[in-house]
Amino acid sequence: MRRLVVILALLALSLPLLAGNISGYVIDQETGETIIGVNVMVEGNGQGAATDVKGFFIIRNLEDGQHRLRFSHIAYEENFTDYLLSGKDLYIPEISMAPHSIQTEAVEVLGQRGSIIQRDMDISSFEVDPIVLMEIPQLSKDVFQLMKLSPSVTISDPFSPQYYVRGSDPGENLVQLDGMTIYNPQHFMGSNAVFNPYAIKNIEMLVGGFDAEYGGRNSSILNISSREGHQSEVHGEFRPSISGLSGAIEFPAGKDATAMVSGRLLTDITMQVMMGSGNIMMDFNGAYQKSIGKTKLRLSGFYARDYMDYVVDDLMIFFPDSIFEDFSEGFITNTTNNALGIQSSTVLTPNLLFETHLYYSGSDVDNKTYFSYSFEDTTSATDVALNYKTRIENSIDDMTVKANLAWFTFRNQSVKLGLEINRLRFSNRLGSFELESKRSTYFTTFQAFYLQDKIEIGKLLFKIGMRNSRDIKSDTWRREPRVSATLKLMDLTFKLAYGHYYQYLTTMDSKNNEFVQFIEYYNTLKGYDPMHSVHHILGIEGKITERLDYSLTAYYKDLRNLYHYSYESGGGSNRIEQGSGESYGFEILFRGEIGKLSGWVGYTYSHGSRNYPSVLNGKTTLFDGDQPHNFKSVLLYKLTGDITASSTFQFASGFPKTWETGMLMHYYYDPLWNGLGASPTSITPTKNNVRYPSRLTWDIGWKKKLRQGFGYYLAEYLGAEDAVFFMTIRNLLFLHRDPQYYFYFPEYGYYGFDFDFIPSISAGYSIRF
Amino acid sequence: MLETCDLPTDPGPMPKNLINVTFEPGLNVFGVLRADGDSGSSFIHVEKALTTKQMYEEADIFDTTATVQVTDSLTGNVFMFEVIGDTTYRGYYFNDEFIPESGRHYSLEIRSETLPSLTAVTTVPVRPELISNTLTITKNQAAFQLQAAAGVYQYNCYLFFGEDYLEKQVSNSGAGIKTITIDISNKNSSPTGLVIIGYDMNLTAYLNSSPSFVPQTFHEMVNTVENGYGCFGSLAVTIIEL
Repeated sequence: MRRLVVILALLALSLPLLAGNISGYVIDQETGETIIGVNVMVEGNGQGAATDVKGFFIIRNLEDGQHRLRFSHIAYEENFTDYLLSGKDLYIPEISMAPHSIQTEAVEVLGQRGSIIQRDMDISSFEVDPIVLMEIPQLSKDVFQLMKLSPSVTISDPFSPQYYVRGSDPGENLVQLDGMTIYNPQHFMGSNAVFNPYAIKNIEMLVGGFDAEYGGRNSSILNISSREGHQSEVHGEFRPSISGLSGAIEFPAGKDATAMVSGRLLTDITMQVMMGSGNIMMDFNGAYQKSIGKTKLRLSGFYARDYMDYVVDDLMIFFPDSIFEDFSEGFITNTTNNALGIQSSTVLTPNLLFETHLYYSGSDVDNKTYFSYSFEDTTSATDVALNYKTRIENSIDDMTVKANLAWFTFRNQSVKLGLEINRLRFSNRLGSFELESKRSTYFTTFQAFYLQDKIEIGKLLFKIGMRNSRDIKSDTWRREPRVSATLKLMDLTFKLAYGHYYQYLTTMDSKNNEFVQFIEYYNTLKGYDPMHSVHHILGIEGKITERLDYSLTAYYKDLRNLYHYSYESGGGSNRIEQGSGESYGFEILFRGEIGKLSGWVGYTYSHGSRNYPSVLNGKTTLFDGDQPHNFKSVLLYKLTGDITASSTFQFASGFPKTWETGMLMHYYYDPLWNGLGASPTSITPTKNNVRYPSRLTWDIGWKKKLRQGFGYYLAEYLGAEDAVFFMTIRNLLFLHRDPQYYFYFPEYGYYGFDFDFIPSISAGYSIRF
Repeated sequence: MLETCDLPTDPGPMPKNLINVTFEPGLNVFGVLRADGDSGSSFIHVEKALTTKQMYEEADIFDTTATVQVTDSLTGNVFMFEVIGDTTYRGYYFNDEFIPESGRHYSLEIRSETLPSLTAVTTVPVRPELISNTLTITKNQAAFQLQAAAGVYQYNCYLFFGEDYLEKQVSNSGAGIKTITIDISNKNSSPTGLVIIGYDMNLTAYLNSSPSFVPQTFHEMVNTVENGYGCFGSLAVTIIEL
């Protein structure tokens, strides 16, 4: 670390000093919201920059005198402004740009971006315009549905929200809302994200090679930014449906202040009526932003709650009484996620930015699953019975402080120095309903500080960083070097990255015990070394046409230290098992527009494996998300100015699964009466020894802006800006079976069950004001 | 794409084999040595593991050729367990005179003409001991202290109210004093009896394991026996009248 500081200092001294930096924030003239991705060019000398995710830009090393800056963005009117530099740096708190309805052939409004998806910035990241969530109704406005269409993502269960990024496990993905870690970012059942799409401003996913600024997870970072508010009017969106309400509203909140509030409240009426299963899902978030001089303050809050008491028992009235003596099945889940934080961003000098963030985030889960049946076998003293009850209680509380200083030193270099401290409380209890296993509660603190340097030398962009991190209880600092380089040669861009990543907590794999794992259950790695992986990435990007480009990326991950934490291990940290693995693959992505068609098409080849001592004595097995071939496409076609058709298509290799070799009876013992019950269970001597058939999924959507009819007149009556009708047809390839499970039937053999065996049609309506 | 279409009545596409694994035949047992002061309450239940087809198409799950013996490691005494005539107890092996002793180490051996011989061991836990004068009963709660022993990995406590009872299970990790509390606020009468059962390590591990009913999912089986499947364990019982 010391050597790095010396090198940076020498570099700083060796370059000629030039006065004059111009920096500031670019905002939407109507809403006051900052604009991402604005190109800022200095007329006449070719210097330029782009606004970052906070709308901030800096142009460095300008000579004294008059400079004309050109601000351009596809969704805004071009802005030319003259600025005078005389001996000192210039900071402009707000540069307004007027929006316009850009008409490309492909999409009418592109929101904040020049394309619906772009890959830039870091080596392996992509940003998606959240307008995609509105334009493609078959995504159900869900961020996770969208992320699963990324070429870097595989899954092991279509019903679960868990995803694997480039061969790492789901617990290694970090999801942040306005910089706050959200520990369970999905709703139970339906596995939709807890983020209201109406409130999302930006979606950025880093799938590898991320800077030293990011830590705590080894695989990916999903950054969701929420909207900031509207500075002059009340705007919003409202969507009623049979299952509930959702909407968002943005409004001015005082001088130089804006606010946004959004919420969703949903219930499944079919479950309530048919099964007597009470259920509710809700999420709310709000943001308040105020500018005070050179400081922007932002207060963000978030709350999500799921409750479901899913009971199958009531359906048993449809079956004869004689089948079971006793039958009970269901689950009861209570989950809560909440977060509250305050951020500040201060321009100390035009080339020195200081940011702080203080937040609390917590997740609390209480899951009970039960499945029991019995019937008396009068020919035997052993009743046939299954009595399966699990209870998983898990909570995590996180109080975090972050601070960083970004120094835009010279024309071609910027340095960021930061720290992060997380004070965490883990609380776990696993067991059956009656077994009172002891609750384990554990407090610890994670600490990290980092230095990240970015240098541009001609067409080479070089980033070098070092993150030092530790769990305070172990007292050992871990170094996480991160290096990346981007080289532009003619029309091609070459990228490479290398980095070490450490993670100090783990999550439980409950797929064996819950039919579908919806929740992440966190546990400390007390007494263990942290998880450790090393990423190697190589990529090339180029343009086919002005609005169509491609990228090829190859990666290799050495998963040197992994942990397997399962329900069977009893939840105690001394039963967590250490292992290792690796993953590799390559990704090809085409994205952009051809005529009226826009979107992306990607193909990935990937492979991953794991070794754990207790699993087949350490033999290498495929990891659960191993899908060697993945072809994904997201396409939008603008039929007319008001109508957009969309298609999402995926072809993927089947999941690796474990095929049982035999069966035996598992016994239940009643010690009071010295009696025995038994139920059949499978024998699985090898893990992931078969591959399920390939999966084919094709959904189409239709979105129409209403110009007449009841929906249009209702919106007009309510004073809304517009009304939109959307329709989706899912599972067009329903005759192609994607088995979820295989069950054996006597005299028939195995039958592959696909829970999506018929296509479905849904329609909806929303109004925007 | 069209070639892979299936009607709902078809079995559907089958998985592709990646690793060849064969079924390992073996005995599947559940044996309990019960230290409750009575003879004949211990039993060994013996079945076979089967292929999936056999299990669903009702092959004979019992091994009628099996011979079962339990040996006291200290004295060397061998206790033969036999089937009884009543077909309701098919697969059960008893010894009417066998009384396991707390603290003693026993080994099980089952021989079969068709399957590998199965062996296992257990150490019978000490009888649970209620510490005198610690049992208190209020309107809402019953509480008492146990002298927990090493070698007992779980205590199951049953507080009886006539024929009805409340159950509490508590894990144990060593010798010491354990305070047990049971919520009785929804009971209208006074408790009539207390039964405390202590499990050895084998029974604790096996009875707390989850048989996976999720198809095609790898799960590690808890077996406390060698060359077969299942559990051989022991428990000790204390009954207190109130």
